[in-house]
Amino acid sequence: MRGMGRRWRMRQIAIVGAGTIGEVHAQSVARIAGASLAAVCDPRLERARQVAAPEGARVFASIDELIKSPAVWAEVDVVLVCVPTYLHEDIVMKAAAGGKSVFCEKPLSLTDASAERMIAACEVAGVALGVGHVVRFFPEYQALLRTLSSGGIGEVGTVRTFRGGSFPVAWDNWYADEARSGGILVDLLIHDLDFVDSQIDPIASLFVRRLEPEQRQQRDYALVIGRLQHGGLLHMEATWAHASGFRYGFEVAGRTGLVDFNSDKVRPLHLMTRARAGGGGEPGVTVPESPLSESPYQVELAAFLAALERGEAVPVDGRAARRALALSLAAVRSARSGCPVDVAPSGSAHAPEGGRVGASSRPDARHDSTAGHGGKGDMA
Amino acid sequence: MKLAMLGAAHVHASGYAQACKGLPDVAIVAVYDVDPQKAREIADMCGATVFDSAAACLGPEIDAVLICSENSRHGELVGAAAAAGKPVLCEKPLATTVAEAQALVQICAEAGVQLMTAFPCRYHPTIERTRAHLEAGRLGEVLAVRATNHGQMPGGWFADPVLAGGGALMDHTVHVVDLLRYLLGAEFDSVYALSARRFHDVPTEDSGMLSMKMDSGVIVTLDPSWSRLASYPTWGNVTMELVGTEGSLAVDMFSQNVDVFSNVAKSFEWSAYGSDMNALMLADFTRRVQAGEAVAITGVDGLRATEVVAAAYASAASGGTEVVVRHAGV
Repeated sequence: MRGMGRRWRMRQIAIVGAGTIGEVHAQSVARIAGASLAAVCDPRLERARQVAAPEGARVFASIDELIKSPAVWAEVDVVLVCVPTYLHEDIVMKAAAGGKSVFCEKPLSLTDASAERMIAACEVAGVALGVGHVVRFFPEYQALLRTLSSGGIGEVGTVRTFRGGSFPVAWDNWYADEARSGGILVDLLIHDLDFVDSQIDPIASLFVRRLEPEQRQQRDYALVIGRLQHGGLLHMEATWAHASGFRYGFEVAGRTGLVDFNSDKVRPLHLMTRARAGGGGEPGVTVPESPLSESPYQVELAAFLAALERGEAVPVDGRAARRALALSLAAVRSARSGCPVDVAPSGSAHAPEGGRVGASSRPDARHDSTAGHGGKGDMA
Repeated sequence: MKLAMLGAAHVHASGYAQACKGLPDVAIVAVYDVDPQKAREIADMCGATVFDSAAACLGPEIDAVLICSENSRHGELVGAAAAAGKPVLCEKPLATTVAEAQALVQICAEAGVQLMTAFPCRYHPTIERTRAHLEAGRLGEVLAVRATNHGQMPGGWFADPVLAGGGALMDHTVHVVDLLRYLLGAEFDSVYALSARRFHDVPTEDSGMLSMKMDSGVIVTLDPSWSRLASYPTWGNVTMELVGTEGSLAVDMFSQNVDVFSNVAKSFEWSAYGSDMNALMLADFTRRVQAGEAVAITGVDGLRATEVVAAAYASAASGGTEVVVRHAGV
């Protein structure tokens, strides 16, 4: 990576949580010049060893065990927090207390208060806090931004995003437990909320429909519409309700053109194999791939490490992640109340969508008068 | 079978004229429009006679009437057909207000003439297959639908608040609403809608987002925006993804296209090869009228769709209130 080749000293990385995303980050560390995997922590030691082995990293059952090995802990520069969301705060606090820079997976946490505590702890400790809003590093999304900033499609009229597939399979089925994962609006929708809000136009209002609790058995689905600060309209879909696969994409229409991307349609490689005849043969597969020289996860982590190296602000800091979380939590409130919520960033000059709701007394109208009164209160 | 076309302002008028030419024993023989030039264009396509009033078109030889006028003229033309005792196929939306749609249903009922609302999408083979998948239970219970009916801005009277009764919401809400009523056998219960003018310098809204709930609990979003610009390879789309307990079905009705890159036109276009749903609808309408059968899509279907449009406009005007769809009596 640019800026990472100076090799003053290898950045020593500890990964806490050896699930899917922990393994992805371990692979990135292996490919980033100037970074080295020092330790992998996971109570599933077998799994931790699997992730640690290619880099010859040490294995611990937990961050506490790592901290109890002062020789290793002292060497660690950066802790990558890859545990389930409800455990983020505990790990971040311990890493910050140890003076380690922190890179935490998204969503930063499950409540605004928790996010605030984590941000404060890192500030007090004087350590960087980066958060893995990786969509910002996906090249297709950067291509969209290049088109927007070149004026290629003019002023934005509508923004549509979609993301998801089958229900995520993970340790202890923790995604199914809203108290631990935050559910689809906090865990999945946050990607697109963060991207649209931070990169296209701040989101001003959200109206969210989601499957009812009794419909959400290993399944979740949400349809979101809303308004952007400069008047554009927003549509978002988040799904864990499909039978298989994972897909994502966007469509942004402007006054003079339109940008369209659907990951399902991108097939630079498409492998199809016949089932092997005979007992024990491999089943036939059909596997699409879209390889890149550097994965978005690697680019994301390299950018974080490069910022540390240069003493610059990290690309997605705790405050940005807190705003994204606030949007997700507002979406949860809208889904629960059935009412639109105002999410305009504080200081916004534009009238909040739904701000006039409370004044309405239409007999045929449903509304919750608690919805949409001023951005700040709503975001808390 | 002899048809009269009353009103020729709608973009579908020429398509209907073309489709009728392909139907055996069906001919458009009389055409009327407030603009004689428009009437002449259609009449020339099908060898019909231009008349200077609706009533003059409706001689004893006429078996049925097609109404392809601006939305705001549906009332007077349906009234003329009903007065003459002719069965009517009226372009969508049936009317621009619930009261007018209700009145049209009533006028036709009292005159004893059949009123069909032109929802040709029901005749598209992809919808027939969607029905079959649903009936076979392949999706289990449908929980949610994400839909779009994007289009280019049709221009002319379509963006005239008086003649069209609205903009993109008026133009592009009813197709998907009717399809979901048809496919899911449920009514729309409530609408939360946003509207905006973002793409064109027109006096109406050109974009919107609708979030709706059906009385079965199904959640639906619909994007009816005129967000396809001149550079888009086709006029627009109708897409729906139905998400069920056992499966999902993505419908993209107008995706049967070949890609055409042309140096001559300096363009990329889609050349459509999908089935002609207008022809299928007209064939069914004329066959049923001839056979004395009930038409497949009624005035009440048109009324129900108009009720949803009215709720959408009420919600958008309220600036953030969900509005209950009022179902008018018939």
